[in-house]
Amino acid sequence: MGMVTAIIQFAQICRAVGIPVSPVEVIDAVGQMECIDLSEEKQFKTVLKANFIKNHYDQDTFEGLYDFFFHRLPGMRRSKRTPAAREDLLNLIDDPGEGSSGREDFQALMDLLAHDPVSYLDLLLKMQSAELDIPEVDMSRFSASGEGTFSLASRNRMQARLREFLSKNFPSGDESLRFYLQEYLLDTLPEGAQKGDGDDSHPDLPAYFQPGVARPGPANLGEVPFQHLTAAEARAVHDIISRLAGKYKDRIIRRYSRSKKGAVDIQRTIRKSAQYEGMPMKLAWRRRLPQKPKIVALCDVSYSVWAAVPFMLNILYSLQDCFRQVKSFVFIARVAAVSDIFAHHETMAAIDQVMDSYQLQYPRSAVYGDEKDKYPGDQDPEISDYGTAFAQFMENFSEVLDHRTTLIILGDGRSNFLAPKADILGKIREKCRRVVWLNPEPEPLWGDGDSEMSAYRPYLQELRPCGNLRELAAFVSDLFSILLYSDVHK
Amino acid sequence: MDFHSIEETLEKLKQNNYISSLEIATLVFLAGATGKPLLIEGPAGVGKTELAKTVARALGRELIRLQCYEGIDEAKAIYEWEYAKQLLYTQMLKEKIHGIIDAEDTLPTAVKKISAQENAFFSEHFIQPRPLLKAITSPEPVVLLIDEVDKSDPEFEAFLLELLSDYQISIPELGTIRAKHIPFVALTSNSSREMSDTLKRRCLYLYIDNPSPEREREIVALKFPGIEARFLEKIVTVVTDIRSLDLKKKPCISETLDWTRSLLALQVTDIPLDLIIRTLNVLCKHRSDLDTVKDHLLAKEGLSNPHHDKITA
Repeated sequence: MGMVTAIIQFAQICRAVGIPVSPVEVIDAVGQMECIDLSEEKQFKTVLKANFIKNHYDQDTFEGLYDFFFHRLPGMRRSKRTPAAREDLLNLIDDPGEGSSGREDFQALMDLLAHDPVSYLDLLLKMQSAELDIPEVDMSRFSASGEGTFSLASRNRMQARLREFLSKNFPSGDESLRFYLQEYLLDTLPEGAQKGDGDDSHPDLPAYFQPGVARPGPANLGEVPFQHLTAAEARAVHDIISRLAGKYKDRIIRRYSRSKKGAVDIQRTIRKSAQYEGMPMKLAWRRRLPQKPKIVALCDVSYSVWAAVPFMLNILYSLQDCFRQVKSFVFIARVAAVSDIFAHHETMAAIDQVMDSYQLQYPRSAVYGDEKDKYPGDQDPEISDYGTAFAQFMENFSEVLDHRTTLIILGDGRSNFLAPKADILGKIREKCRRVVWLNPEPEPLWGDGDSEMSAYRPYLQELRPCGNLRELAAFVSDLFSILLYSDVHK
Repeated sequence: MDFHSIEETLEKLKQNNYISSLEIATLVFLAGATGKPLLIEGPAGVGKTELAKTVARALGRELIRLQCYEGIDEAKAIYEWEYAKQLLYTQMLKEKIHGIIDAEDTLPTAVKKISAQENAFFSEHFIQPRPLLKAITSPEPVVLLIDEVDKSDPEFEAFLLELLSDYQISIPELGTIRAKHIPFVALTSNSSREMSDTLKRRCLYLYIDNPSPEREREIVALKFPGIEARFLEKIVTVVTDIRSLDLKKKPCISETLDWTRSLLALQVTDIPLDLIIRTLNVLCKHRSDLDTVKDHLLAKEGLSNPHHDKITA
């Protein structure tokens, strides 16, 4: 196989795992190959890395992919990618124990799978389509209807093998894995699947996974309630959040730099005009220091709300440059300050640690995902008690509030029929600039049952739903208008 | 002068007191050979700026440096019209201007006459070139260092794009100015802000991480010739150990060098624990980091930190 084809396929694999490699970068890399000594693999690798990887946190992924693609993938070792090589790959899946290096290759696949099944299946998918789309010397020997594309039989065989492989290795019905498997089968092998099965339904698929029906894929991630996200999706959402935060940060900083200009500074303008014969050619402005707001976050971390907490904290701390200060507290019934943890650790690690160190019944998986969801139920001795939490917050931590502080409360306001003590929230309200409440429950449920939202509502400047990514993003997008411009009624 | 091979690049960088890895040398060579800018990222103090300076020295080129900051704009980075000079010239040339329009009877014809002379005032003569324009118009090839590009605003990145992809700058009054020589461009970033994909796409990307103990030993030995091997070994071991901790800001190579310098100034031959702790401020620049490192070092010696309670509380 030509080097160019290999580079193109490698680029496609990079894209499949989410590293954006643009065509220009591929062209650049190929062009630069002329400048280096191709017999030195290190140089080859360096050129690929310098062109494909533009974020240092993608470097490890690159190392893994590079090793996998250029060293371990059977087709690459024989420096050709033919239907036979594809067959090898399938054999590998089919029977990992066989062959001298089969074990090792299988391990590589398993590593990838264990790390992130989605990307692996995606990778298979992309490799498949890469082979079909890119004209390459080896492929030209086969006619379009011949071995270059899948025959019906091989499609069905492959489908069966993948199913078997997955049921053997992942007996528990992992939804996201199955979803991607099905997506793979449906997208890659549409004809085979349909003709082979006789009808176009798949018995073990929920209705919305059927072809033609909009599926809750990545495009719809914004609508999935936080507590229904699978581990892989949660990771994707965190990813989106950090991108969003980057975008808002830029926007907010621009707003600050615009608002830096104050009124005309007459003295300096006159002084400056001296060099232009007393004409005020250049106006001098008073510099105004931006009044960055302070944020205090108070998060309910009881079972009913926990799913939303990491996402909220992630976005607040990703944006902390834009604030004068971010402080955070968590509570079920007792309030605990967690700002210190954030001061000492990277945001995601801190979120993990908050959940760990306070031994809240919170599965790690919701942050990073090891798929082991725990259900707290009776292990959790504490039930959320908003009234007590507010009273305690007021008593112990009220000094963090001042006239520039915005208090953001994240919770469902379900106080288990304990006293809501809304008047304390009123006192808190008087000590700070404004209180914003984010509620992960859908709006119709507010005030229903033990939800005390109606009691708290009078003391809030803003009350918003925040149950999924779309709502959270909408809130953040408005956050600065709320912070900078909303009126203070006292 | 240019680099001709990767080996030569490696050698030349070393001659100029920069110990580079093969990866760094490959990319420096490629950037020179293909005329693509080199985007260097990495923690503070790993020698990003130093690399650009060394390349300038190795190539015998002038280094033009643009230090970015929040709020930097075209006028500070590319060019600015010298209004004062223009005004001064208008004053001095008053007579001449009168001479030109004296013969005209009507205002429109006078305006026409004057506008024909406009070019005299919007010419390169009245432009104050800033680093980017300087780098492009320089008669000799230069090394252009755009330092801490992540500190600049997103708008500024857009100005850079034209420069970095086509090596040209558009000045509305003058037209497009093309580079006489393509400069060697190095951009450094501490990733305090993610650079846009469009900018990244135009660059070769180099991430410099803290050096391995072997490379660090080499670097320290290069900067302090004649340093005793056992002493050097101890320094590198301690720094590597500290770096392995979960710190807010890990000590970087320039801090290792500072520390070595301090130790040499103290004229010690051995580094006992209490000396490490006393000089720790050179390596760690955060209070919490200082505490973490102290705890760690004392725990290793089997001692406990008297201030320990304060931290865990």
